[in-house]
Amino acid sequence: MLPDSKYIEEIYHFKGAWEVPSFCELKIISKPDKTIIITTELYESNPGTSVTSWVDKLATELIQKFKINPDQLTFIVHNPDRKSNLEFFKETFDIVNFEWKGEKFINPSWKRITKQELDFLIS
Amino acid sequence: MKFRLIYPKWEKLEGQTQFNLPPHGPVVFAAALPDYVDVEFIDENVQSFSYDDPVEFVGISMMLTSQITRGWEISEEYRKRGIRVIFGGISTMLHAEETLEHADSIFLGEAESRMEEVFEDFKKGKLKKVYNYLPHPPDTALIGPARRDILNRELYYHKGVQMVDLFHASRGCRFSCYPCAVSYLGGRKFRPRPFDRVAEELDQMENNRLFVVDNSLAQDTEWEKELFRTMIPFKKKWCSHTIEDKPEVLDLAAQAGAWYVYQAIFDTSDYIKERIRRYHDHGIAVEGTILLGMDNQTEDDIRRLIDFLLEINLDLAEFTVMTPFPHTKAWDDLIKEKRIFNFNWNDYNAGKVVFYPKHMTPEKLQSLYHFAWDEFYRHESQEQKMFKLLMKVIEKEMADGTYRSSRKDLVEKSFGKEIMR
Repeated sequence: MLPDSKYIEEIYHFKGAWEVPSFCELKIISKPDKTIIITTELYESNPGTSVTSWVDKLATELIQKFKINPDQLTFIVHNPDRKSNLEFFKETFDIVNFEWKGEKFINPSWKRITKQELDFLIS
Repeated sequence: MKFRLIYPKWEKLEGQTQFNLPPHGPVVFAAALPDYVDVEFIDENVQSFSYDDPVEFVGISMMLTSQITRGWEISEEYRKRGIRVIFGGISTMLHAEETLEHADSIFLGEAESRMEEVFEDFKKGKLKKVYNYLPHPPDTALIGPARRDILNRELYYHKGVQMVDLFHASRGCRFSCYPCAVSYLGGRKFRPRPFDRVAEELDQMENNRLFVVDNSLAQDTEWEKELFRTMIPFKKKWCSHTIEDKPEVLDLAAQAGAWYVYQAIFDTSDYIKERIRRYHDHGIAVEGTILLGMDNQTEDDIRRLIDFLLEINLDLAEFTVMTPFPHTKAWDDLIKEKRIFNFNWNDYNAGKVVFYPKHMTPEKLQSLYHFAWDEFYRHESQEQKMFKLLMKVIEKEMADGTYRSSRKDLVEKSFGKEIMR
């Protein structure tokens, strides 16, 4: 997989469901008024849990690790294009919104955005 | 120690020929039990049992999502009687958090070399709530021949014909298919069993017809070829999931007794048509597995696909509706889009629509699913096509001297029950 490097900076290792070692790609963009986290699914290169099914726990882990203010977080999930004829493996971007409860995110909800909208957001 | 291992029943798909195959998970699990465990197996699809029978410890083995609510119900009955219950198996792993609410303990992962710990804890009254071995799959060399002796054999005959026995040569899968949870369950790394252990198990199997249940045999060409070379001397006849269609692989597969293969058919391309032809050219029949309700399918696409299946001379076809099982990309996508409207796990049997399809209503997809079955089997019923497939294997067996006639004492029975005429 050769995703667009403008959305990727490093491979991030996390423990997914039932502590299974899991990976995603990660880019954190700091702006004066917000922090944008872009997580990219690795599909078969990820030995464990997908970002989508672990998204609230992963977002909580990332803001704690990188000391990000939860109120200023914009969290993006990127599904890269797998060059498949099947529609569900086309490239997508979603903004994930959460509720902040105590010390963690809960109740994720996804909103599809276009690549142009993401590029505008990170520009 | 008297341990009762129960495989809960589930509702079979409406309108389809009903078969009960001897389950695989429980017999593989039983091989990992310590010697002092006296295991009694109940397959609730073909057997009944009483909660008052004397048992010390109960295990519930679940493969399908549509088994889990029945599994939970059984567990609650035993727990009311003070009997401790542990869950394991594929759908325990898919629904671990929920199952935990109905269990004394759940086992996640693969059983080999782990059961001593579980049973010692039980004996000491210190059963853990969770045994989580999902991150640590065992060495596949530890997988012993399955304990098929725990099965009540006579319950797996239909009109005197024995059902296939299930067998596996590998675990894990390097693919990551849209509706499949195997990579979560068995890991994304393909983990073959050593060939000498595969041969040891084949040698112990009395049944000369098998279903090789590996997720896909098309993981590695050299491994696949060596597996078939290993299988040749045993003269078994078998069906399996997909195998590669390279001539050298198909030649060896045919020599190893390939009877028919399952092939996913997702479009009407020449690629599919040619692939089916290549299997047929090697004397290998094909059962198409057709998933309906994908986001790229319109009603017209589904109707065209059914016409195509009739044109390409498939031996059998199995239609399912797309079902978003947890821990799959299908689940992730549909949850994201809030398109799942039914979370009753009994309905997750791949015959009921539980989500909003992209290009039609759920009702339309449900009716197309029934239309697909009816249309494909309109001129020749599923039972007639299965009979033709059975004749193909009998021909192969006659040719190499491995044919065994059906059990005359069971010709009036179907899975242990008298046939009503």
